Amino acid sequence: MSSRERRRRIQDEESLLSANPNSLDPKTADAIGFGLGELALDIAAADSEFQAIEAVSIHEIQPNSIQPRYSIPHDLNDLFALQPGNVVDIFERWIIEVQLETGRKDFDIVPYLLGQATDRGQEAEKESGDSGQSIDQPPSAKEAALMKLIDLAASIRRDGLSNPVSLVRQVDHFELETGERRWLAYHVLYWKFGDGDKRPDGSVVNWSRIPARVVSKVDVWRQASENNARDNLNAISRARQLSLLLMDLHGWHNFSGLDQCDSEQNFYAQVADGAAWRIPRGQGERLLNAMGLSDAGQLRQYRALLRLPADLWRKGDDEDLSEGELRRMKVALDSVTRVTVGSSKSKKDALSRLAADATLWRNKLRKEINSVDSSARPKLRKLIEAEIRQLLRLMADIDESDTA
Amino acid sequence: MKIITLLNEKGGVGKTTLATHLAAGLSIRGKRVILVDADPQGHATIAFGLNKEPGFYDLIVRNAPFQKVLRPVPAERFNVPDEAKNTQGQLLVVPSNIETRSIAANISDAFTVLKRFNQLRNAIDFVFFDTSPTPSLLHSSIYMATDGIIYPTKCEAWSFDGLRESLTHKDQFSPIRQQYNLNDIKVLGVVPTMYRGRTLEHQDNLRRLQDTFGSLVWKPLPVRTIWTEVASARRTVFSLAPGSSTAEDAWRLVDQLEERIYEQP
Repeated sequence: MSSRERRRRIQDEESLLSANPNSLDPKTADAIGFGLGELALDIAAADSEFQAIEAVSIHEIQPNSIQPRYSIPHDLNDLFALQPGNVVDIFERWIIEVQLETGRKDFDIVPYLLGQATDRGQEAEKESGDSGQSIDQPPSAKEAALMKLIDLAASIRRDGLSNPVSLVRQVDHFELETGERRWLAYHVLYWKFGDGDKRPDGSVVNWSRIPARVVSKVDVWRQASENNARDNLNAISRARQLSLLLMDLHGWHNFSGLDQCDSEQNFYAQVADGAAWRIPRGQGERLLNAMGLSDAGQLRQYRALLRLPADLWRKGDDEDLSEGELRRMKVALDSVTRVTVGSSKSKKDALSRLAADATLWRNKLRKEINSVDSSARPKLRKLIEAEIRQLLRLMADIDESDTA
Repeated sequence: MKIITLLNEKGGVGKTTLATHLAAGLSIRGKRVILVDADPQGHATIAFGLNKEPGFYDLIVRNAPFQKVLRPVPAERFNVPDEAKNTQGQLLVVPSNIETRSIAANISDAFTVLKRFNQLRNAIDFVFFDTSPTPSLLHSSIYMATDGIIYPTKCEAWSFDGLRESLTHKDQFSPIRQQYNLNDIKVLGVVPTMYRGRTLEHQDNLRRLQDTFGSLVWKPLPVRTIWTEVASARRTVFSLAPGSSTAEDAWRLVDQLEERIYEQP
């Protein structure tokens, strides 16, 4: 074929070959060789395997309200609804409470985050390995829980985040599927070091963005396998996990949402009745497997925790008590009438607002103090002390009215 | 799946022409092939009449799914016209445009390219990377993904310099690949292109090349006007001039590649 003939042929074919395959119907696409047949299925399968990791702003992420593990103690949770805007307030309050409990006035978390010398580290260095020595004072539940989070943040700062959190994209935010503690650790690191922090290995990191996999919807089974793989749930969290899986098996339409229940425990307790909400036929093995349990007896024991008295439920969660300990305590408490503080949602919201107001005032006050001339500060100090005394009196009144 | 990269840190030595024809040749022989245009010039994209677009950028930086970035090439563009309808294999292109230049600034993980293309290990037989002559961090990521490299070169001094630079960079990656239990990159061939057999300069340079690389040097590809026609027509020589001696030369390239790939170490 001559060069001239070749050119003519090309001109004839060009219009068809230059068609945009994306705008063609499948039949035409196949006819002119754009169709991929089975290869299209293989490529689709390859795509579905891949979950891209994105860096998502920690401020755009909100916790999943029904996730089984509670990362912050219940009384802080009562005061502050866990939201990205509240995290620093929660930690400030948490640290103050640990200071009050332990009598340590200068408790600073930064040396822990930096992995520097701390009193805890020095104690460990002195440790002789003699098991006969008694432990002076075990840490309180609040201190232990705080230190676990600080340790997590320190390890992320040192070694990076090995397991990205998983998120579901909602209209104006992301919802956490797994990784609430990792997200809180990023908040702590951002609070203390901000963006552009230089890590020990010399790399620079922006703590305002957390590596995340974005999934299409919250999957309680994936949550369960993530939690069990890392073996990090206490007994109450496991009971919550079991409840979520049972609700999923029976269909979510059969149950009220968390916001329609008086308390979070009541939400999970909807499946506490084993006769009414039996494990569906053929699902027992899947449930045991997802929960990481070996027999049906253990499932029954965790289900029974859903009916614990509210106080014990909270104590068990805050202090990471085991299923056995909780069972024994329930037996001991069965005859005692407990006065529990109501925690309906409206009350919780009002408390959260009050706490937020208090934080706002405190920040304002701090700013004012900084602007006052240093010679006037002793006088200001006295005025603030007088105000504190008034506030303490007010708190005593609240306690009295509660007891009454 | 084999990942093959066409490399020479000198422009205009025939990387794109070789990449398009090797990819097309294997597709005609029934293989499922992807040609990744990793050059911001996007010439491997327009070589098949496709539009320049940020396909490679979207894939690597924006984590786009393959379904969104792969562009199928109609068999008429690369196969012998009479046999196009019966083509057994498939040829897909990941297109490129100027945005490909920004990929290097946006990847922090040297394994990004490897991880993305590993996804296709069960779907695809060959992936070809047509690279830009200027080395960048993107090249490092492509090195980590590559099983074999083909070095096209003109039989001229500056092309040899580009070849030398490319080989040095490949060797620098050997210890890193070993550290991650990846096999060393196999040199599949050094391909003398645009060869003018009647000039003493080219004859001497070809001899130097053969002295240095021995059997790795493929049979030289003579300079021919039809290669420029192929570029204008946005097809391969197999489609445009199937009976020509240039098409025979191109088939010989595919043969040599298959021999090298399947030969025992």
